[in-house]
Amino acid sequence: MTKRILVVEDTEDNRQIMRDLLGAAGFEMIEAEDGAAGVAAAEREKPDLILMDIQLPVMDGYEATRRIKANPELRHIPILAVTSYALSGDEEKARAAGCDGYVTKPFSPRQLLAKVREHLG
Amino acid sequence: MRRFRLSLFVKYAALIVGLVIAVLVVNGGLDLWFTYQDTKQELIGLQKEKAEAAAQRIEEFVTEIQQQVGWTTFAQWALTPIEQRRYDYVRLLRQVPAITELVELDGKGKEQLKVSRLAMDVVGGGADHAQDASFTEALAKHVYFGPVYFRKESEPYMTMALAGSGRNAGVTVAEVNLKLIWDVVTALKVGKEGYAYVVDRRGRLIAHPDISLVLRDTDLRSLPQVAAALAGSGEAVALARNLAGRRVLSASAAIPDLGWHVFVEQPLAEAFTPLYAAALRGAAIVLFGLLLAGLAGLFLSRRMIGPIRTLEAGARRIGGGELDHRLDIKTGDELEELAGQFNRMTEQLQESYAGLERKVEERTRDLAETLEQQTATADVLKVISRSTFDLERVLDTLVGTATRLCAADIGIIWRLEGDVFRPLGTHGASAELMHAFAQDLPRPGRETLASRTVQEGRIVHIVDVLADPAYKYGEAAKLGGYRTALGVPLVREGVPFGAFSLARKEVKPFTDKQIELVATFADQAVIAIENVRLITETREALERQTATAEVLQVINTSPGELTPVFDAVLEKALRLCEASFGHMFRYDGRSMRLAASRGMPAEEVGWFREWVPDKGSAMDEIVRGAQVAHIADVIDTDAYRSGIESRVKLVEVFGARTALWVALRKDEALLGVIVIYRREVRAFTDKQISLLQTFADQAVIAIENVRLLNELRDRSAELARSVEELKTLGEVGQAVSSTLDLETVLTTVVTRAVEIAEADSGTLFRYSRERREFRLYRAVGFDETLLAEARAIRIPLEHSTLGLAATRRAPVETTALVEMPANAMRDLMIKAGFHSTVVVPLVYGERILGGFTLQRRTGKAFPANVLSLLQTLANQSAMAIQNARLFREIQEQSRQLELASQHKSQFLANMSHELRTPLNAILGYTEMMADGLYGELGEKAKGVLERVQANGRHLLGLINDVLDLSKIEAGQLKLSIEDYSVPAVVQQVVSATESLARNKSLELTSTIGEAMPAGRGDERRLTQVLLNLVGNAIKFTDKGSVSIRALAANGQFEIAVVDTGPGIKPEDCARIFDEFQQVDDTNTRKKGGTGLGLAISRRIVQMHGGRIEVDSTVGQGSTFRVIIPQRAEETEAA
Repeated sequence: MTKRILVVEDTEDNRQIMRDLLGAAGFEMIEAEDGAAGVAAAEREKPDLILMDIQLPVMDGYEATRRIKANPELRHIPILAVTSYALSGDEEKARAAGCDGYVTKPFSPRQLLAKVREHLG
Repeated sequence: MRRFRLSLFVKYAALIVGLVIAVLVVNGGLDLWFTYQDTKQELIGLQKEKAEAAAQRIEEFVTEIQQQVGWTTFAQWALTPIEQRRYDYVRLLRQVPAITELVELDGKGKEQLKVSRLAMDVVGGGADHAQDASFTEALAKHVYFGPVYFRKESEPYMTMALAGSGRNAGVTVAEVNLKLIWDVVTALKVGKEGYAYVVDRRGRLIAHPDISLVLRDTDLRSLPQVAAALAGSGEAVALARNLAGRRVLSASAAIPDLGWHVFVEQPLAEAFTPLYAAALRGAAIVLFGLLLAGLAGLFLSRRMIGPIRTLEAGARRIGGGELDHRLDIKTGDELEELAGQFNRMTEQLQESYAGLERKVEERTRDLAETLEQQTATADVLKVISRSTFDLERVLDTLVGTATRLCAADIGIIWRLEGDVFRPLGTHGASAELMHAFAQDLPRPGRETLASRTVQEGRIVHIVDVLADPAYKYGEAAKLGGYRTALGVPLVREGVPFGAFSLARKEVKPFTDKQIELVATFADQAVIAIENVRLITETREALERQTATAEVLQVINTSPGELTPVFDAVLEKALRLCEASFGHMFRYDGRSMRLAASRGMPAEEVGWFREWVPDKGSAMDEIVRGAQVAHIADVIDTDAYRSGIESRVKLVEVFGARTALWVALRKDEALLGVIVIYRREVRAFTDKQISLLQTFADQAVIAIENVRLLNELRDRSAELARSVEELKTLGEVGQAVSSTLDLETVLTTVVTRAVEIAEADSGTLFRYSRERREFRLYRAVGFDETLLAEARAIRIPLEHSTLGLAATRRAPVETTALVEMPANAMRDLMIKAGFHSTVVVPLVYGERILGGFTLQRRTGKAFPANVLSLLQTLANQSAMAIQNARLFREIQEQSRQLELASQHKSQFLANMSHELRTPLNAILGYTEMMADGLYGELGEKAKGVLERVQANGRHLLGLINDVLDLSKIEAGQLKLSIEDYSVPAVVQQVVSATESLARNKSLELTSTIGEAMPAGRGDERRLTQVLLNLVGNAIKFTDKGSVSIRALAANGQFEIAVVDTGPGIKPEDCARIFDEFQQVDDTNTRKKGGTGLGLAISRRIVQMHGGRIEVDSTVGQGSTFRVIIPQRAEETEAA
């Protein structure tokens, strides 16, 4: 069955990259443009994996991650933080919020894909 | 003792008996031993002879047979015809009965001829005997003797073979009957039971009186004597056991040709029968000797012990005290000598006992005497101690005891008082005698015993007073009836002051001992007299001490008050100086003022209240410097006679006759006078004058005390005030330093200022620079209404008291507010009922901060010290205000700084995000395009994409470096200090860069020193540094190698990156670590790079507490060295 990946990302350009990349790799992609929408999409769609930007409008990626991880039905879904916060301590913050992986922007599409596959087992 | 004696006796007896027995036993034993040896030798010799004789006989027998047979062996004989030979054989049998058979064997052992007594003769039988021992042995040894054997089980036989002579000769074999040997053996007799026997070479019995033994073919090798003989060792066994097991004496003789042995044996029992008889005799002799020795021992011991017993008994009697006993021993030897010595010793003992007894008696007598004296002395001492103050009784007892002990009749103790001797204690003197003495008391000189004793200062002994020409009291002597007199001086501090005299009514001199005793009693008398004197003096002194102490107590209990002191002084002075009345005056430099009076009715005192001393009066003398004025009789003075009023009045009105004045002085200054009067004419003694001086001194002390006390009170009050002020300052200071809450400080200041200045209210005004006016800030002692009104008033800097004080920078004070120029505040204060005020400015440096005012409802001025204190308070307040302002400013600045820092952090985060987001798109698309996600690209397009990608990455590097640097600048870069491994860091860097090096065909090597310890630092950042250095090296090196060398030394790591690149010019070496600095030439531009890497590296290394160095030669390469502590703690970036 086709794996479904939720991408929470506010920049259209980056969503487009994801679309191209994940589509080409044979995944189904669900999109959300802010944290709150991301949480709603996760609850509604129950994707297999979530790629979460951190700096998001309405609700930031940390909070969205916390909420998703607080939901027992969604807790098992791996969440990879995809963020431009690359300062020291940012990864720790992401992990503290509940992220299972951490990818800094700019990312290499090839490596991102490898990481996604790794988390989908 | 008894046991000892008995054992001595037994010892002697046993010794004698033992000696005799020992001699007898040894003698008998030796005798027996030698006899035994001789007998044995003799017997054995005899037996041996017999054996040898028997052996000889047997040997002769065999030899003879051998000779008889011998001629058949000649060669010629063998050549004779057989019949001839047979005939010869038969003849031989006849000649020699012992031979029973003869056989002739030819050279091959074939039987030629056999002639026998028992069988038919055989000629040419031809039986083959070649294998027989008789044939072979005979051929070999010429003669052969076969073993003994028996025929018909009863007769012994032996085969004898002789070899013939000549070539191929035969052998003649003869069977020989050995019965003859038996006869020999049986015939041999030794004693009754002795016997002989023969054994062959194998030890088997051949002949024995008991034939059955022989026939049983008994083997005797088991017997030691047989074995020894067979062994031929020559050591014959003489004592042995025979077959029956009996002990025998054995001797043997050998028959060498046959190898036989003849034994002759005799049982020991029989052989030694005579020896046993001898032994029995010996034992009998020993027994007899024992008996004799016992008797002799008893006798001798008794003889020896006797005198010793006598000695012992004697010694015991002497020891028991019978010193008269003498030992009587007449043995004529050492014992008698010993007894003699005992006797002499006893005599000496007797003598010394007698001497001792005498001495003891004497000593006992002496002791008794001494005891009596001691008892007497003790009694006297008891009396002395019991009646210390009753001198008469003590002395009576002393003289009484002395009289009794010295067997005298009269005793008197005399004391020199002035120029006469008075009796102090008497014993045995009649009233008439004492009366006579009283009528004519002895005077110093030689006329009386007492006076002579005192004059000479030593013991005077007059044997007969009537016979002494110088003795004057003959009548008294006659009256008292005394003749012999003894006088002992009473001495105090080396000076005789009396005499202890004894007299007897007969002429009988005192003994030395008695004189000595009297001397002792005299000493006791001196002690008693001295004691009483001392006690009296002490009592007087105590009285005076008590009086002065009481005065002192009064001084102490009424500090600051003089009247009770003066009263007490006067009272004591009057009592102790035995005066009737007295006065105490204080002198003020002009007149005398009465301070106290005693002993005079109150109505009369008025006259003395205040007066100026008359010229020439005693008071005048005192005023002019005299310490004491003493008038024994006031009437008998010029002043009285010339009618000086005070003096006359003193006598006429107050009845004073004797007067004493003493000055009260303190350091020359006259403070007053104490004067006491007597109504009778009686001069004050020196003691009383000095006592009054003491009282005067006490009065002075009291006066001084009061003065000092008053001064002290003033000072204390002052001090208390100062302490209060200091406390205030302290409190304010504490408030100022402990709290930056200005309101608290200023409230404290105003409150305390009001308290210190004892003001009714206080206010604090603050100055506004903008408006140039003062406004009320705090007030103490104002009610609500007043406060509200005061708050409403604006006080301008100009034309106001506050402004004036602030401009002058000094307090402004007024005691009359109404006199001040009118203004709103003044009017309000007057309305509130205040009269005086003080205004203190608050100024800090050039800056006017405000001021505070204190108000009083009274018009009383503020003391100077309060004003200065207020000024100090004002200064402190100013400082507090200033401090508070500064504190606020610092707080504000910190807040702003913090805000700025927050802004910067936020900015960094935002910038990071904002720069990365577009880059993500650029790099992401580029990579996907390059990967052909959007379809195949032409070569040209690919080339372009690669450029885009490279530039995008470069931009990302720049962004990262700028962020790092910004973080460092903002102090946001924090090292995460953990343990790390240098080899691991190097390995990581090598792995990351080796592909780069390979692409440029450079050799990349790493060398790590031995035993690298674990380091402590930020591994990620250090890796970043090394990566930067190695990356640079690879980037700038086109040919050759890049090597990393790491080593640990002196607690530091040194990691060097060495390349063979173009090198760096010396002037550039310092610059390359600065931000955005690259060695500016075409080459570096070509290589690219942000120019921030080294700057960041240097910061990171510095944060580890290390340094980074470069060492380079242009054209040869560069070496970058990172030196960091092995265990780094985070330090601020330089």
